[in-house]
Amino acid sequence: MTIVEQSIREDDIGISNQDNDILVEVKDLTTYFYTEFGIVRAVEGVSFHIKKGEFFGLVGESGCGKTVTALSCLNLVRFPGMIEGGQVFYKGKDVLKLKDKDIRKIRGAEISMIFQDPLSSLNPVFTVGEQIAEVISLHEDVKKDVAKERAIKLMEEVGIPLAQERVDDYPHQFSGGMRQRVMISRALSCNPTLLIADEPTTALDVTIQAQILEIIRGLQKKFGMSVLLITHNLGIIAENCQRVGVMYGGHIVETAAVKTIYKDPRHPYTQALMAAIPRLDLSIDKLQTLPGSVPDLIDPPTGCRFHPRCSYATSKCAEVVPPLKIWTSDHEVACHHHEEINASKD
Amino acid sequence: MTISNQTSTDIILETKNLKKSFPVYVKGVVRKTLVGYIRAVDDITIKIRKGEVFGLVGESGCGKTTFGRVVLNLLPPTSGDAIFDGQRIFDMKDRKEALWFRKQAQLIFQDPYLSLNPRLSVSEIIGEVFIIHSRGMSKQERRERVVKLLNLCGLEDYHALRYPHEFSGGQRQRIGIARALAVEPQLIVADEPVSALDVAVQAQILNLLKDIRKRFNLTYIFIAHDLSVVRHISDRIAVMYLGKIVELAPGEDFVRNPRHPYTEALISAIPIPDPTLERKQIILPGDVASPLNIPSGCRFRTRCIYAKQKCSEVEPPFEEISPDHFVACHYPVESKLF
Repeated sequence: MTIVEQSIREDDIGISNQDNDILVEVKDLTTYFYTEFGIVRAVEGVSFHIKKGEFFGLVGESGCGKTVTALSCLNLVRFPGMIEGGQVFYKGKDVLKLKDKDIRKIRGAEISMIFQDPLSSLNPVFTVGEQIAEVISLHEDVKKDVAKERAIKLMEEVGIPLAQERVDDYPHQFSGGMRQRVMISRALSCNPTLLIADEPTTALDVTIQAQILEIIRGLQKKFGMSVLLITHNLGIIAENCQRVGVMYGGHIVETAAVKTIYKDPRHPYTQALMAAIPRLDLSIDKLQTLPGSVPDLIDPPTGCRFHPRCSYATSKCAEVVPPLKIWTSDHEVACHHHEEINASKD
Repeated sequence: MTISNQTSTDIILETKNLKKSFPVYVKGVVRKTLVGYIRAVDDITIKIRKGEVFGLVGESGCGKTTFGRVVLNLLPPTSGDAIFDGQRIFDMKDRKEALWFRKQAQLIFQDPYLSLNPRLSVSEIIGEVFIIHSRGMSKQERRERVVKLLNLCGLEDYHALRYPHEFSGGQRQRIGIARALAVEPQLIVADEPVSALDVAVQAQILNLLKDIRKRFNLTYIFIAHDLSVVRHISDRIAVMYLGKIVELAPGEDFVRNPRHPYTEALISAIPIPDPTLERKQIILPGDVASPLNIPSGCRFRTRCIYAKQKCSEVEPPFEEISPDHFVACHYPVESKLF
């Protein structure tokens, strides 16, 4: 099938980055929104990387900057948002410096994105087949009927029953789970090397969520693409991702391999987050809570953005922003005191 | 000892063959034509015990919210009966009886943004309860009661003069809880009380709900789609599928030893934040059937991986298959998921 052939071709090209394993590297990304109430410092100094074929998760509460980070990676931040600084290296090129014409070749073809609400990201007046075929003919020089054939194949690939007949249906004729499948097949239409999935299952029921995640996992394995999964659900991260970045108030506070971070969370926020979730497999009498609420990003706390809610905070925390420092080979923490805090554990 | 035993098994609310269906019309040029009924609650017979947290889970559209509204007499049932503390609640015709029932049973809503009147201050929102239910209470006393309720729910005195838009989602949910507690009810139906909240805030509200329940010996019907949340707070858990309760069991038993194939799949579909946990995952095929066109026999059979001939012919009865464990399935599974 065409899909498989192409993904092999992509792999042969190789990348000009010094580290051949890294597909995307985000460095010091800063995005602000200039609103009438003031400057919203939505993302500040965010750095992370995604390896080839890796399932990377970005987790955090609402308003912590996960989505803005993802949109910035594709230079899709709209007015009043502005990318203030930083670099996003994709295959050695800085995406943020590319001309509109060039970045359009990457968007949807090499890096594609699926969103939380599939109904509002599909056009209600075109059939799903047209919308999938549109992406294909935009990036490749193919005839209309060939594009439609490919659309049907893609719909079969993501498990839409009777794809041959349903290709001419409109988005409203599909259920939520089926719409998200349409979105995935559209995102896959040009065999991307990176799929950004922004809360892809939040609007769906758990049994449908399980279906969709299984499809994404399966496709990732089959085509060897990388996935950036954005979610607020620590369970989804644990079951799907290899590495994870935890965001709080526009900063990344910790990144690590999933197996490491669940066993040994170092940042007080990560620890608090994990202790706050009710567990299906354990019976917990009282959940741990965090005092206060998430920071207002128009006037964020100085220093570590978590310090007003942190029980270990010192005066240093209020003054100096803790950098994301390497703790072990695949574990980075942005906390001045994580070694003391976790001393008893170590 | 005997007394406490007896009260713990006392039934606070009992439903008998409770049904609620909504007519569905297609609007034409001249007239509306009835195309069918959505059977949102379809023949539910259960007993809710005094002082327990009765968790009700199910996917969207399964009828769990409708069930909550019907047992509070906020929606008239199509047929069936509900008995609260020995009184048939659907028979209450006069205002006095209706007010009595409202004092006994209250509702906490999902959306703390929509369930508070934006034009009233918090003291008015909660004080309104006393104007209706405790006529003749002095202004001074009303104010004191409001502040007491706010403190109880983790809010400060000065919050009484503020308006809903000045609060965060979690704080608004606290106001909703304070309002429900104002009449000192016995039963609270909490309809997705934490689904609009972030995990850290969710934990605060869950702890609060647990605390006040212990303190006032309340009974909850806790409706949510998130099984981890329901399992955390509930004593017994019931699963609904297309208007019917298909399984009911004590929390621990429910999670460890589900007997209905739907429950089994539901539990296995919940992502667990432990990457080292190895477990069986069952992915259900297809979507929930349309509630307009419920499958014959067992309504789950269209998605059931174990379905046999009998399942499409005979509707399985809701039976107690082991002590306190009720299932509606011809071929209950033996499953150990953890």
